[in-house]
Amino acid sequence: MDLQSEAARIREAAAKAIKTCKSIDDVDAVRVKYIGRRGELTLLLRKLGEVSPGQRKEVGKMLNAIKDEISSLLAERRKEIETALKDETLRKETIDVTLPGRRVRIGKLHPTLRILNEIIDVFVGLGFTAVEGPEIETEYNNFDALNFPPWHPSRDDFDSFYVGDGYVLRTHTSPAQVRVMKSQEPPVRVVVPGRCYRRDTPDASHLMSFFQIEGLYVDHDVSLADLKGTLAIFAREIFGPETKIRFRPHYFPFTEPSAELDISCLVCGGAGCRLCKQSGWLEVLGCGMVHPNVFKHVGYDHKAVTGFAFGLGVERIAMLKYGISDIRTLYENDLKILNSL
Amino acid sequence: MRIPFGWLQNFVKLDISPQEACEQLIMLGFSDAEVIPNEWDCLDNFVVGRATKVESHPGDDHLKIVDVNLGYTTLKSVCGAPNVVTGGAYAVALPGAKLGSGQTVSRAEISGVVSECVLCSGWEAWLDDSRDSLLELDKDLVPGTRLIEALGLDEPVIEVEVTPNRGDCLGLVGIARELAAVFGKELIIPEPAPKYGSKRIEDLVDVEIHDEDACPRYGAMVLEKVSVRPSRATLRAQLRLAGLRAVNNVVDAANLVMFETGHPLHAFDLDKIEEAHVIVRRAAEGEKIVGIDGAQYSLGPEDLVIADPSKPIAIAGVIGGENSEVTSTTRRILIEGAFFKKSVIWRMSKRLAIDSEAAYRFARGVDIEAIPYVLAQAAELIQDETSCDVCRGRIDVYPGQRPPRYVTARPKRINRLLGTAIPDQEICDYLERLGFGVSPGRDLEVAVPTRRGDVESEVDIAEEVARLYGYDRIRAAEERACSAHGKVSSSLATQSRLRTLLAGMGLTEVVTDSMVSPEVLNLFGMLPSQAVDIRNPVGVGASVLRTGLVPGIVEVLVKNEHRGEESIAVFEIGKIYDRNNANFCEKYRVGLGLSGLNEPRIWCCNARQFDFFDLKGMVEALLRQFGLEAAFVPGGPEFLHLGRKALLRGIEGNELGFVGEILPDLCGRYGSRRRLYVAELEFEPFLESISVISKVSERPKYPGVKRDIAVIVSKTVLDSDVRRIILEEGGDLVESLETFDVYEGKPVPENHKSLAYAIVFRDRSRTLKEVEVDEIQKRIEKRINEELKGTLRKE
Ligand SMILES: [Zn+2]
Repeated sequence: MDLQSEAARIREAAAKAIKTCKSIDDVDAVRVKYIGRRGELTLLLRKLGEVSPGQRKEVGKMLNAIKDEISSLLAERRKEIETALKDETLRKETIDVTLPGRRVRIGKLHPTLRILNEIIDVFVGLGFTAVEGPEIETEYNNFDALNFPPWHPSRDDFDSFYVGDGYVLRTHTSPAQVRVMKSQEPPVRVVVPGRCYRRDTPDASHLMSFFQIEGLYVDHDVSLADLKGTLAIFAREIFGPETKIRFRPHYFPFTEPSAELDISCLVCGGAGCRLCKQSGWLEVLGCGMVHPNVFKHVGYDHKAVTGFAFGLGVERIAMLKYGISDIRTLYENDLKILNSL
Repeated sequence: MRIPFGWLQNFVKLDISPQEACEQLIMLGFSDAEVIPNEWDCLDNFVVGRATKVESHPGDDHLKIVDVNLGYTTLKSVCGAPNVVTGGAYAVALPGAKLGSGQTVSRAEISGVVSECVLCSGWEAWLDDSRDSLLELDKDLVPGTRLIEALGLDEPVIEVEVTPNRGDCLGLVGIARELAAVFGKELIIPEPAPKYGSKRIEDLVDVEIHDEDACPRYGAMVLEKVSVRPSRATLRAQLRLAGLRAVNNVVDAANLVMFETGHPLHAFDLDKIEEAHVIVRRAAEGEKIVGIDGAQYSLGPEDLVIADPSKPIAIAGVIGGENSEVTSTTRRILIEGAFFKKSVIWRMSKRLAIDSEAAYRFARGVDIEAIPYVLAQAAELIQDETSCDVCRGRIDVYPGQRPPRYVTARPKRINRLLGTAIPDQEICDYLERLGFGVSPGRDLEVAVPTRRGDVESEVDIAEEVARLYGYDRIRAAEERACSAHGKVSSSLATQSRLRTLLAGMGLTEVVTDSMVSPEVLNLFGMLPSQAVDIRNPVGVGASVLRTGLVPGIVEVLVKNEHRGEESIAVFEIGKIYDRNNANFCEKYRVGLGLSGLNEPRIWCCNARQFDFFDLKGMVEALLRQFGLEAAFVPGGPEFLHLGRKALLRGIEGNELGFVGEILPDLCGRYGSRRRLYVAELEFEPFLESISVISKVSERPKYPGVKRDIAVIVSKTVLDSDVRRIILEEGGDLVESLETFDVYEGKPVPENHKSLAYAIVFRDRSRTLKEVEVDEIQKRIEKRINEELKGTLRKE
């Protein structure tokens, strides 16, 4: 048998053997068998000397080509097996990616205070500075300075909590108006959030303690139109860009003219539904132009400045936004509910 | 206030629907104006019937058999009422009708006679409380007419809320005036014209006012030969529309006039007034009177009464006295039309808890100048109803007649206040339509009608103008709203930051009551003498202001435990209160609470119970975030577990709060089966630190030396004792110090523990040598040895 046909046979056999390799060891074995130091092809190469010098070069080239081919086939197969082995290792590490992830616990802010802060943010954006006032207030700041007549019903023991002679748990955030104006000259533009107290019997829409936010803007020529504009922006920011507002005349001792602000119903958009009692409107807050008597009490020149004030119940807004129908739900501190809002 | 829409048209002719009227009323300031749902479905099967034949019942003397003509047919009715007569017209309930008494009408045999329909009393016909006699209808009514039509009940009724400043709108005329003004319509005021008899009132009664401040005007008229009986059916139906209760023809007539004019009137039985002498005076201390409601009231000097020379006969403006009540035997009456001071009436009605229609109106203000008019109106109506004699003249004690009130209003100023440009002429027009007198000029002199006590100054005039111009026509001027720069106070900013951090740590924010029960505070030993008591609490459950947040937090923990919550982590930022004599103090605190599992049970983690160090870790994280330094010292309030509580001390030794576990006994009282961990921190330090900005520190250039040290000390030695020594000896060279292991048990001797520390020493200005650190370590070892009787553990 001549060298060429022997080489061709080895090539065939090696290629076949490589294909059946299952492991790196198999590959190494094939390598040793054919192109190792005592491999069949290596041995064949050593016989090259026996070939006639005329053919030696050509035969040598052929044998080397076959050796290279086997080498690269081996390398290829080795790589295939290595990849398969790695994949196998990874496959063994397979996890159930549908299991829930480790819980990252993040708490929730209380819905009332969350809304309160949203409202503060809106008004800060409109140039109002947010400050606070005490909950234990003087009767003077809570009532007298706000133009409540001495016999006004809300001064009564039945309606307000008293904690000492001349001291009351503030029934609204409005006394903060008095404090702010007494402590600084106009222009004044503040909002005052805080807890207030009234002697109401708790029911689905009343609590003895609740949060309000008060707004006050005093400057030259502040008008009812400015109030309406400010509250229009507030309504859009808090309730959405489509929200429409309605101003209705109302009565408060410390504002004149006074108004109540309605927003277009959040559920029906104005068509009429159960929430808005078919009216299409939801009452949101009370407001008006600061009464000159209030300016007199705080020592402002009521001929030189005008101003507007508004006060809104935060729970009411939270209830509207979160669809809560009973105000007491907010203060049961039930984590199931708080964490769901 | 109820507004029967048809009745309203007696005073102003409107060409709008009731719904449109409601919308207009809302925009005039009458909130919640709405057409109330039809109340008369109950009268569906009631018609007018005429008694064409009345016979006695053969089997029962008390009963009669009546043939009732209904126009299209005649039915038989067995009837026990005393006032059924041939030719009379009555309300008939047909089979299927439900009576006011609750029964349903059906053909029935009564003592052997078949009754096919029921002749009704006022009660049975859903009209009022009268049960003893049949409701007598106008004999001219066509039999078969539907009862609601016959009684004039078939008109829509609007209900509105009237704000307390608008007493003038607590009568139909007042509402009519508003609508007339807004639509530019004529207001129709009927002219009363009672037919006077010959007797003169001055010869019959005397009136004296002892307190002119509380009662500046008292008017009265006298009617004689009155026959008091139930009112006609249509009058009773009118009262029903007005939402008032029928009594008798005199009282009903007076009430109707009140409903129309808004001015309450009271009728006395003149023969029960001693010497026919009326005195308006303050009550004596302890003076008593029985009201027409049958209740006895004990009065005092702050109360105002109408009296005769020997006794009070009415509580002024609030309720009449039983002793002078108009009854069926009354022949002569005195009608009172007076003006009482709002505040006096309001206080009496509140104190005596009497919520009468009269008190409601007097407390909101009536028109002092309308008294002659309303008296004449009442006299005329009572005369119509009872055919009585009206005595000539009128008592009118009005000592301090007031001049008309004027307010100066500047149109320019009004427009500036409203942000409008309403022409002067239009402003005048609006005011005149509302009944204000206007003398034009650059500044308007506006004469305010006496009924409008609420209008006192230019801004009040501005509101009147705005109402008629339309609040909805005022522009929403947004440009000025966006012209300034606002900010948040540091207290609010600090609260926000704390809340964000705490929520980020997994705690849920709660809001608990600030008014709490003293008993609960006592449980926690938190009821100091300087707690703020509420003088007029609603029950003891909320009669003192809280002095700490822990009781509220504990309640939240336990309530949620009972609701089945496995893992609870909450916080609250809220105020606590105290007083120093007359000085009240309120300040924020931060409260935290943990109970149950440290995380919800989940496949991948072994949940464990929350413990002290979970909470302490959170507190430390908060302090770190705010750059606050504090030491945790064993100790704390009594309501905490004696071995598991720590006080926080700031660098100056000031107390910053506490962390600990609630005493098991206390948990037991709340019905908790868990260990509850709470912390309460002062807010002030956070507030102060929020403005402190720390500067960036340079990256270290020189290598540090790491050492792990383990010490064996007695169990009673504190970690902080060891750390203190390490820090003191290491000084500025200690870059970081962590306690990384705590171990008890073999090979550590009994009653001892091993504490292990990882320390990094570094000098920021040069390379620290190992030998220097060895030196420090030796000193540490020595002091631990001497001061703590401890040893360094050799590896
Ligand atoms: Zn709606």
